[in-house]
Amino acid sequence: MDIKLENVSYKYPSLSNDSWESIRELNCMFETGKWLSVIGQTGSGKSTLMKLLKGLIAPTAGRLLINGQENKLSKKGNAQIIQEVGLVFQYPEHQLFETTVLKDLAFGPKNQGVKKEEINDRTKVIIELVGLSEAYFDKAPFELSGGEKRRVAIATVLMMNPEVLILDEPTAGLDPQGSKLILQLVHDWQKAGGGQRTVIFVTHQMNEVAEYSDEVLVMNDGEIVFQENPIALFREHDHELKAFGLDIPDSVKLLKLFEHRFGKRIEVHSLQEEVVLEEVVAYFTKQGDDLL
Amino acid sequence: MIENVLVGQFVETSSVFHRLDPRSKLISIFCIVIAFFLIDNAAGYLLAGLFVFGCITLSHIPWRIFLKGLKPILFILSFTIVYHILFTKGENLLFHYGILSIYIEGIISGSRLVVRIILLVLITSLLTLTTKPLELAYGFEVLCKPLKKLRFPVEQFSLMLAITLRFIPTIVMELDKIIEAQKARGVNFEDKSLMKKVLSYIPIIVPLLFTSINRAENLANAIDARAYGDGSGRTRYKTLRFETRDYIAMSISLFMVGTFLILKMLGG
Amino acid sequence: MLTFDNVSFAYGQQAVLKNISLQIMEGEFLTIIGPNGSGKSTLSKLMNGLIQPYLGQILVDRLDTQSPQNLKEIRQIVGLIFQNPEDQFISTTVFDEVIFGLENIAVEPDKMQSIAEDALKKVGMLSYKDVEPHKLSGGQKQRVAIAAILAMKPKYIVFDESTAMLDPNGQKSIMTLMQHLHDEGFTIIHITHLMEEALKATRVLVLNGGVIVAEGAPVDVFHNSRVIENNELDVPLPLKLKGRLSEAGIVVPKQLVTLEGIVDYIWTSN
Ligand SMILES: Nc1ncnc2c1ncn2[C@@H]1O[C@H](COP(=O)(O)OP(=O)(O)OP(=O)(O)O)[C@@H](O)[C@H]1O
Ligand SMILES: Nc1ncnc2c1ncn2[C@@H]1O[C@H](COP(=O)(O)OP(=O)(O)OP(=O)(O)O)[C@@H](O)[C@H]1O
Ligand SMILES: [Mg+2]
Ligand SMILES: [Mg+2]
Repeated sequence: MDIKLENVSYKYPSLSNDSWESIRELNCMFETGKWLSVIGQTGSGKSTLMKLLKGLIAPTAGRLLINGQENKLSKKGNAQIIQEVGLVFQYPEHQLFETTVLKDLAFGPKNQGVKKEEINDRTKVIIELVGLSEAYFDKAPFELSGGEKRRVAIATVLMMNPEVLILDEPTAGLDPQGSKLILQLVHDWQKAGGGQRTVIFVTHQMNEVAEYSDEVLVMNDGEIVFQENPIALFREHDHELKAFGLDIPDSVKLLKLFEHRFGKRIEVHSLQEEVVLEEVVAYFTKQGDDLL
Repeated sequence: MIENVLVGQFVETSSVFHRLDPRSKLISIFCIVIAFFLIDNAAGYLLAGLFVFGCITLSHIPWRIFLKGLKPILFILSFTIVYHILFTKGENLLFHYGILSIYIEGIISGSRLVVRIILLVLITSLLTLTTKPLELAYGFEVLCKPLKKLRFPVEQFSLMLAITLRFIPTIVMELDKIIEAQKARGVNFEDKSLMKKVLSYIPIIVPLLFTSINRAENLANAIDARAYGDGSGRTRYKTLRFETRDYIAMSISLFMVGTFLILKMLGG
Repeated sequence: MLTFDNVSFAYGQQAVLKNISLQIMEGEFLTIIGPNGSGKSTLSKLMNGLIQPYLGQILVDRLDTQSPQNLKEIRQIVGLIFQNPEDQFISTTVFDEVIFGLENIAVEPDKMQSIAEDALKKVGMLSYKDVEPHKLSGGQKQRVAIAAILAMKPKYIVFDESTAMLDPNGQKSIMTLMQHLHDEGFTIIHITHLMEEALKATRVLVLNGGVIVAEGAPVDVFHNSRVIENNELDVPLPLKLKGRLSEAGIVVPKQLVTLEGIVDYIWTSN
């Protein structure tokens, strides 16, 4: 599913006069099958953009196009929820409310009118996908650990069979392995879709952006300032990113330091730590040999 | 939803109301509320309306904001008026159909009540919109000092008041977030039968309860960690002092009570 | 000195901390890491008597946290900053927020203004004095929370994941502030899930399942791969790089823990 924004602006309704547009004249395209990371300072409009993409709020100006079709407003003038988009909010575990994990998983698809057998089938696939097992079905969500709750919360959204999965800071507050698990499970989910599944991943951790992203969207003060492939973005625009209050991943820092010191640019095909480490260490060892 | 809740929201405009001592504001509002309950004739309503209009204009806070504050009580207002129209009996029959009879008295008494509620809401909104919660609580605490002799926990009660006021907007914001998240999970809050509507609120209540408790616990920790203790033995940065404007405000309020008393006696 | 002597704690039936013995010296920069639910926040709340152990004793500069009459003093000595910047804000302006703590510890009213302004200056928020909290970014709110604690002149400041909800700039500025405060002589205790942040400490403590499973200088702790694997941790990139280099026969001195330091070292040693 392709999502396109044309001159989209959004202003929250507010008490006082001093409210401003949280999103200003955005033009961008979310292409099918990509992993898009979204970064930007606090208050730059990331979460607002995500709500627009899900149809929870309607643009106050501009148009939202889904596969070329405009998302029309409802009779009451509200936005229309977009079923194919799954949105995982920040701290989604606070949203679990049923008495068992199974019931919580079934809640979304039931609202969509999915058949019982189909829901059953899905629960089995999804619970494995998020790295848990059927043994968790009868547990109360409140008994689970922080990381497990987070994974169940993501599973409740996956249960609705989205084509586009939006995650708003899904790793905040998790320990390093817990965070890695989340990234891994989202990656697995995307892989299982045969190129039809899109991921939109909001984060404050640049190292997470370096792992899987095909594209990075940088927001600043309600506007999109970059939409680029991560290697080009982080390697060429580090000064601009710093000016926007952002940073570059550690792996890129290493590449830059290396380039600065040794005057040699190492080309990499990915910014994953493992890849970059390998390249850099290979160069160091080779260089040692040359000198000896 | 958040944009419609006025309780606990403070709007800085540096009007005379902002500069009044919280104690005199509390006393004045108390008087005015009493005065408004005394109204029972058209002249009274007119006077009270003008008074409220004047105050709001003086506060420099846009009317828009006050009107928004009325939105949440629209339901109560319409219920009041419908109830009165349908069930008040009188002498001047306006309309009759089957068991339904509508009297002019019903319309009048309904409208009066509605106007009175609106005036009361507007004038109390003026208090919370122009006073910071902690200041209001401090004023309350000082006014209630005498109650300490009766072992009433004045300090804690006033902190509780301040925190309630301060956190109502936060909780409402939380509610907004939860409703959004439930919509994202396919809950439809529009077009539904009443029963279904009520049921669809369960997924909201449970998370709201949990997050509120969680927040309350965090906040309690934050207060404790800053050595609040049991609230006794604290010093105060600002000591409250009545200025001329405070005496004027309280006199005007007392004058209002007197005027309405007289109006009532003249009318009745 | 902050001393835990064989401390155990439970929420109801669930034992959360088991026989913790620990000493935190003045002037330390201690980082506590460990998986979700390992008891880090619980440990921090024990430090200033927000909760009480059911076994053992905690002394803050010789004051027992279990005597109620000590609590006011203890909370002044040990300041606690929490994760969620939202929930810590009690007042409606930045200045009032700092004043709240001063009123609690009965500072003389005419001294309050200068104390509060000094504290706000230290965190770079003085120009926001009259601003309401909802107009601040998360990082700014955290800095105000720190100022509110600083104004009370604590010796120990505990940061419980205070950077977790912040953007990169916010994270960096809080880390820098922590280091400044440490340089000024404050004792810093920092709880975090970000391994790069842990490298800045003078000592790292790893908590898992309510027990201290490892402690020592950051380099030593992160060099121990068993500790990393068993405790849901990760190795920060500089140390990973060092590991790879040593496998390849290039040995980098132990004390170098930044990417800059390592790359420079290789550059100069060639
Ligand atoms: N419900 C709301 N009502 C009014 N204003 C809002 C609301 N939610 C967000 N805003 C404002 O809109 C702007 C963008 O906020 P948004 O939450 O989209 O930022 P963000 O990039 O997600 O930030 P963060 O990194 O802190 O999550 C901010 O200025 C914020 O104050
Ligand atoms: N108020 C409480 N009531 C009951 N149990 C609690 C409470 N607070 C924490 N726990 C439990 O105590 C254990 C330790 O919690 P604690 O918050 O100290 O962990 P933590 O190391 O800070 O984790 P995190 O990294 O997720 O913040 C957990 O199992 C948690 O579920
Ligand atoms: Mg956000
Ligand atoms: Mg914790």
